[in-house]
Amino acid sequence: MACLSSVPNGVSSPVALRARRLPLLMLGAVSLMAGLLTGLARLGVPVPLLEDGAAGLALLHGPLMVGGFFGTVIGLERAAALGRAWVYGGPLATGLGGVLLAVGAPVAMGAGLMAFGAAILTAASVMVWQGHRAGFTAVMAGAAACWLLGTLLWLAGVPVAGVVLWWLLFLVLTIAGERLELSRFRPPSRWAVPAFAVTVGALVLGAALVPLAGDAGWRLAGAGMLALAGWLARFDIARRTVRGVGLVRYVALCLLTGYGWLAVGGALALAGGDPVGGPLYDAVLHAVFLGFVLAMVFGHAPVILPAVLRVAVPYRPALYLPLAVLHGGVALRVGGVLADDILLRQAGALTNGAALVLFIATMLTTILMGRRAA
Amino acid sequence: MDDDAVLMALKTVIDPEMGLDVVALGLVYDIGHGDDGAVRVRLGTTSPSCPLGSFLCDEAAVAVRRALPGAPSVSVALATDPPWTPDRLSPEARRSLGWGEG
Repeated sequence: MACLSSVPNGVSSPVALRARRLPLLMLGAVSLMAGLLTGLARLGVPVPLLEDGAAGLALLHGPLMVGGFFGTVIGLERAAALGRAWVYGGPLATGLGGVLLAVGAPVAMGAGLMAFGAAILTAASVMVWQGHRAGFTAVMAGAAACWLLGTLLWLAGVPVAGVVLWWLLFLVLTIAGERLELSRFRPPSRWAVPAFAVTVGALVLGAALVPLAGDAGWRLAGAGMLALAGWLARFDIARRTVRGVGLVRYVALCLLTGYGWLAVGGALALAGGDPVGGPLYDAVLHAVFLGFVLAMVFGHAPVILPAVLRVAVPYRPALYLPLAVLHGGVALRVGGVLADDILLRQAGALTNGAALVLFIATMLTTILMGRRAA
Repeated sequence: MDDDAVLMALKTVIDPEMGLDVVALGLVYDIGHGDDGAVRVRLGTTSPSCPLGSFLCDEAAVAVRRALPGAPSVSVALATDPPWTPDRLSPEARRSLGWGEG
C-alpha cells in the first residue's frame, strides 16, 4: 500500500515529508542556477562568477539543465508518487551529479552519477509499466530510457550536441505520456492512439538516425515534434480545462501555449535539418526546452508542490506574469536566431533568466501568503 | 447515512488540474465502517505514477474528519487495484468533459 492517511493519528507527517524531499529539490535548484549562468555565458553575456572557467562550464549547460534540474525534479516527483525509498536514490544521484559539475569536479563523476540516477528512474518507470501495462506507462518508461541512453553516450565521450536529441525526447515523451494518460478523460477517438504511436515512432526513429544521417534524423524528429504538438492541440484535456477558472485555467494555458513552442521547434528542425554547430541549434532547443517544457513546469508547480512538499500554493493571477515573460524571452531568442541578431538572442536569454527568477519569487511569496492566511 | 456524509465530504476534495472532485472523477473506490464507527476510505488515482495520490488521501482524511467529528478514527488509503478507467467518471463529470449524454 503506497499511502495511508489517518486522522488524528497521521502517518504522513508534512514536516517529515518536507525534510526528506526539500533537500533534493534544493540540489536540483543548484543545477538550475548554475545552468542558467552557464547558458548566459554561452551566449557571450558577461557572468562574473564564470569568468575563469566559462569555457569548460559553458559546455555543461545542457547536462546541468536536463540531468541536474529536470531529471532531479522528475525523479523526485516519481519517487513521491511511488513511495519507495530506493526511487529517491535517483534524484539524489542526479542532484549531486549536478552540484559536482557546477563546482568543477571531474565531468565523469557528475556524468556517472547522472547516469545512475537515470537508471533508477528507468527501473522505477519499467516497474510501473509492469504493474500497469498501458500505452502511457510504456511511453514514460521509454522516456526515462532515452535519458539513460543519452547520458551513457555522453559518459562514453559523445559530445552533448550528439546526445541532446535523446535528452529532449526524455522530457518531451515524459510530458507526452502524462498527457496521453489524461487524454482518457476526453471521449475516445479512433485516431488518437494510432496517431500518437506514429508520432512517437517518428521522434525515436529520428533520434536513432542522427548518428548515421544527422540531417534526416533531425528533420524526422522535427516532423515528430510538429505532429505531437498537433496531437496535443487536438486531443489534450487542456482544451476543455482551459474553459475553467483560476488554477485549472492557468495550467491549461501554460500547456496550450507550450504546445505552440513545440510546434515552432519541430517546424524549425523539419525545415532546417541538422542544427548542430549553427544558431538554429539555439532556436530549436530553447523553443522546446524553455517554451514547451519549462511552461509545463510553470503550470504544474502549483499542482505538484502541494503534493510533494505539503505546502499550500493558493492560485494567484500573478502566476501569469512569469509565464508571459518566459514566452516573451523565447520569442526574442528564436526571433534573434531567425534575424541573425546576437543582441536579440542575448536579450531573450536574459529575459528567460528573469522569467525563472520571477517564477521562483512568485511561488515563494504565494506560499508565504498562503501560510499567513491559513 | 454515514456513507452519504462521507461522500458529501469527499466532494469537497478537488483534483487541482481537472477542477473536478474525487467523487465525480470516480476515484472513490470504497467506503467502509468499522463496528466502532471508524471510517475507512479507499481512493484510487488515474495513474500509478501520479504524485497527487497521497496528497488527495490527506485532503480526503481531513475533509471526512471535519464532516464526522464523532467518528473514533478516519483513515484513507490509496488503492492501486483495479486500475482507473473512464467508466468510473460520474455522469456529471462526463457531461462537463464533453462526452455528451449516455
